Formats: sequence, C-alpha cells, structure tokens
Amino acid sequence: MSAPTSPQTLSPQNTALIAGRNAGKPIRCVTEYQESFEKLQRAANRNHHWARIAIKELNALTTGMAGKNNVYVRPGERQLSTGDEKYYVFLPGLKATAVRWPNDQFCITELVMDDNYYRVQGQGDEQTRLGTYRVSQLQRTGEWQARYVENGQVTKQVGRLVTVADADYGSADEAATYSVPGALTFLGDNTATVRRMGCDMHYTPGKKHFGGMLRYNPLSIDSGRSSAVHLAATMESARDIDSVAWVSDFGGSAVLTQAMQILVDKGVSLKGHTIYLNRPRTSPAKALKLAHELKLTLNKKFANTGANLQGALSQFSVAGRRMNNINDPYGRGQHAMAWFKGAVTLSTPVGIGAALASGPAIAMLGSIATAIGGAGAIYAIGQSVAEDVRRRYKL
Amino acid sequence: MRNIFKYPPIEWRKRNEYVAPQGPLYSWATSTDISIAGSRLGIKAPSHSPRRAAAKPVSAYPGYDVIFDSPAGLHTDLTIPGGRWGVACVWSRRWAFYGPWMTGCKGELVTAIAVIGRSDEHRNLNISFLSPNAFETILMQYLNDCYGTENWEGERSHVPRFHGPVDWKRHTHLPVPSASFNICSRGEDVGCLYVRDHLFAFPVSDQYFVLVTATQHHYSRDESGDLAFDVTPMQDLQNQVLQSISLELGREAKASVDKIKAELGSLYMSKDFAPLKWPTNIYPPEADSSPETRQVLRGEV
Repeated sequence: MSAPTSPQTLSPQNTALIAGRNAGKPIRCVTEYQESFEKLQRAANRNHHWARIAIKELNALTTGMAGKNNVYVRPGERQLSTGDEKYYVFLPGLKATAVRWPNDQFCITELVMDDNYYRVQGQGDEQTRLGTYRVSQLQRTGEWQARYVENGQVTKQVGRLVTVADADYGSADEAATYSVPGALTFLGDNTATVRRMGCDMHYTPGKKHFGGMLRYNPLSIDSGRSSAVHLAATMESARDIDSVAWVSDFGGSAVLTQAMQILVDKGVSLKGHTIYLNRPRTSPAKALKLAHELKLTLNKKFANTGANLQGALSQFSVAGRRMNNINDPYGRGQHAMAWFKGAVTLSTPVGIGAALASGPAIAMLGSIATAIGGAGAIYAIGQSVAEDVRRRYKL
Repeated sequence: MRNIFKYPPIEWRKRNEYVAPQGPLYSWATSTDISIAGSRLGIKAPSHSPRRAAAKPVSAYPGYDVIFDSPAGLHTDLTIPGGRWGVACVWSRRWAFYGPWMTGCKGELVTAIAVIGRSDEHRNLNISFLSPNAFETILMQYLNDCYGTENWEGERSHVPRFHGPVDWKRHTHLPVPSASFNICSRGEDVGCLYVRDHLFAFPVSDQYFVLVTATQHHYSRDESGDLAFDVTPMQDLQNQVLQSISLELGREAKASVDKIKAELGSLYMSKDFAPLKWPTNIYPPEADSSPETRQVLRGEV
C-alpha cells in the first residue's frame, strides 16, 4: 500500500501533526500511518529503549535538515511533480520516508514498521531483538548465554569488552556463542576476565551478513543503519566508563563504523576507549579515520583482515595517516612488518590462483609458499586461509 | 547421518516457511562412558555436528575420573553469585537441524553434562546428596543461585528472567533419586514464557551431583513470531539422548545408597516441586508500598 503523494491530497488538513507543536518546524504524518506512529509512542511509553531513541530522533527533525545528511537520514530523489525533497530516515524499529514541503514543514509519507519490535509477547522474543545483551559463559555447558538489557547500557566496568556481532544469526545466544570467541582474539591470551565476568554484545537480527567484497563501503549499507543508531546511543552513554573496548566481529564492522560516524557527526569523542575489527567485511580504512576523529586510543594492530586482499589494501591505504598521527602507536617498525606480512597476504591468493589455474599440484603450492617466506609464514598462511574457508563455508 | 541430499548443511535458500527439519540420525549414535567419583555414567549420542565450527565439543577421556583424577577438586563457578558451587562440564555436544533443499539451519540442540558439588568453603560433610530429601534441598539451593539471581536490572529488578522448575517429573530407572524438569525463560511481561532448559539431575556420590542440560535453540520464526518449523525431530533426539543415560554406582556410593535405602525405605524424590520464588536477590515490596510500585508489580505500566 502506497501513501498518497500528490500535492492535492497532502495538506495540513488531512495530515496529523505529530511533533513540533510548540516550537521548531512542524512534522506531519499521513493519517494512514498515524496509528503506526502511536504504536511507536506506546512502545516508548512502555519504556522500550529503542522506541525512545526513534521518537527522539524523529522529533529532532523539527530542527530542520541542515547537517542532517548523516548515517540514518539519507536524502532521496526530488519528487518530479512538486520539487519537494524526499528523505529516508532509518531508525530502530522503523524506516520512514519524509517529504519536505516548500514551507519547510516535514510530512512523513511512509512508515515501514519492523514487526519484530512491537510484539510484546512472543516466544523467545527477548532473543531476537536488536540491542545490547549481557553475555556470560555458563560453566556447566560451556555455552555463551545472552540476556537482553532493556535500557541498552553497557556494564559500568573499567575495560569492559563490548562485541558488535554480525547479522545472520538466528538468536542472540547463537550470536554470542559464535562471535564472542572471535572477538576474544583481540585480547590475545588473557581471556580469563571475560570468561569470568562476561562481556556485552550488540546484536542485530537479520538474515544476511553485512558487507562483503562488493559492499565494502560501510557507510553505504542500508540494512545496518537502524542498528547503528542504537549502538551510537549505547556508545555515547558509555563514554564515562574508562577503557571500553568495542570489538566488531565479521560484518559487525559495518554497524560499528556507522555508529562511529554518527558520533563524529554529533561531536562526541570517546577518549580512552579503543576499537578493534576482527575479520571485518567492510573497509577498515573508513573505521580508522573515524577512530582518529573520535580520539580513540588505538593499538598497534587495529584490524585482523586475515588473508583478505581487500582488507590488506585498505589497511595499507591508511598507514601513512596512522604514522603521521602522533597519538597512534603505529610506527615505522610496524609498517615494515606490515609490508612484509602484506606482501605475503597479497601474493598468496595470487600464487594459489595461478597454481589452481595450471592444475592444482600440492608440490607447486608448496614451492610458492616456500618462495614467499619461511616455515612461520607458511604456518600463518595456512592458518588464515583455513580460518577463512571455515568461516565462509561454515565447516 | 541424515539424508544429506535433501537436508544438506548449506543455506543458499534461507526462508521461514514451515518445514520439518532433519538432524543427525540416532541410529548412528555411539556410547560414551564417563567416570565420576568411582561411578560410571553412560550416554549414547550422535557425534558433534554444530552449525558453525567455532562451537567445540567437550569430551571425557576414557579411564579418567572427573573427581578422583583432579586433585584440586572442581573449580568454583564464579559466574554464579556467591561462589558456593564447584562446576565442571564433562561432556557436551551440539547438533544442528537443517530444513530441506538448502532452506537453512532451523535450530540447534545442545546437550551438556556437568558435575556439580559445593565449593570447598561451603562443603557440608554431614549431609549426603544421595538422600532424596537432602538432594531436593541441594537442588533448590543450586537453582536459586544459578537462575534465581537473574533479573531484568534497573527499574525492573523485581522481574525474574527465569521461571521454574516446571513439569517436574521424578524418575526411577537410575539406582539413585533423580528428577527432570524445565526452566522457562521469562520476558519483561508475565505472558512471555517459553521453555529454555530441560534439566535432568541426579546425585552420583555423597558430595557431587550430575546435571544434564538440554537446550533447544530455535532460529526460524514467521512474521508473528511463532516457530516456523516442526520441533519434533529436535525433541525426539533430546528424549532419546536423555533416555540413554545409565548409571552404574561405584563401591563407595553403593554402600551409601544401601544405607540410605535401609533408613528411608525408598529412594524416590517428591512427586511435585512447586516453582521457586524468583528473583531471590530482592525482596518484593509489600502491599503497603507506594501505589506506583504496586502498579509496576501488577504489570500495568
């Protein structure tokens, strides 16, 4: 069902005023969607964290569109008939299409609600919601268990680990079981604290991974936008906690990068926090630029891109920027090492591809690997290729 | 092995239409023996086949006794508040269930066996877990510590995250008192209850008991949030695995059981077990508290 969009049917008489009653620019809504909007308001009154975020951001439209071309408000095409500007607003639980009238009022012409959010009572409902979860490992089963946190806040604990999981998981428990071990690689061998005290997780329900070779720009991925609004609110409210580590796993890098962009647009800085991308499916270069703007404390290694050619290139592209930044610990030593490792990463797929093209002889693969480096390099390549293949084919 | 052609572990046509998924066939199951404090626990289950390789199984080494061969005893489980319990997971498996023709993974069944005892500082040598009455008390304390302390934080810290035990059933096929029951997960509202863990508990010695946890993870739902697949295959496998559990008591435990049997006459646990009052870490406000609080308690806000 599409909303009436011709200028004859859209006027202050047949649309309802939903915000900006007293101050700012009035925001109107097609009566057809007024009920949906009230549903959202009821959810906010029931103290649903995501609904309050959505209402707040919708009300923020009353301040006008200047500077609002950001992660979750995207300009659409101009309507040919009237010349009105069209905007898409991505928020947790809804996607709105707003039209700006010549008198600078906004009218919401379409409101697509995500039913997953509005079910009050549903089986396993608290396992499939977008939001923050507390994650802890059950010693009696060895499983990671996720529990939904209503107000979306991170636990107030110095050095708290917050993982940003990819979509494509059936439930938050599954996301925790499979993505927390990946995020733990960031901590290296010292995982005892997390196994004892648990960590937090930002979970996005969905069927498809974020990002990928063809969707490598994290800021152009639409499916992650509403999740990023939620994560940005969580990150902003956590800025007083010291040394929080935001670690994305796999496609979670898209959501994390978008959330960082929202914070940069808002002028928030996260001093003392750190981020890490574990096997990102989107560009780590974009995330790094934002990390510098947010004044994050970075480690020498910022992302683990494995055998991913695109990822290695992306990291090389910001190496100069990292070396020039006095606060970034990445220096010439790391760069020399990265060059060596990068050469290995880049030449391995090329070498293996050539070997496969001319008949896959194990001896030949071996000789290529030997030509690239010593036994250590072979081991490293083997590990990262195996990890990649396992991840990709879910072996 | 399932019909690998019709139910391959590939997810190229993911959808949420109602289907009957297939998991590992029980006829291919293998038996495992686990030694716990001289007793022998047997279980017959298919091999580990998770959805993603990152989930690793826990296996018991043959000839290794979980209690006797670990001189420091069980490690205290610090994720349970209070630190009163020593817990060790000795065996676990995860089985994925796939829909037909590459329609994706519909759910996973996790089964784990844990040996649990009181931690060193909280041990009480005067009671024996093998006595049905004492075991009920111990089980109640464990459930209170493990599930009863979880609540919905902040303004809703009076709302528990779990509800149970429900569907309590006592069993007589083991030489020790045993019972199975469910723990439900509870949403913010009372109406949102669903079975999360199926537990099967029985003591194996004077100071240790075994807790078998079976959890079904459901991944496929339709627009209204109902399950979009048949859970019977998962339930069947769960029943078969749990029914295959056998216990052969060691010499010491056998002597204790005989002594208790002579004293009490029977080794049955009680027929019913009412759900416990959770959360345990806050006291519910009384009727004379503020109207707002009562309103919140009634779930009207």
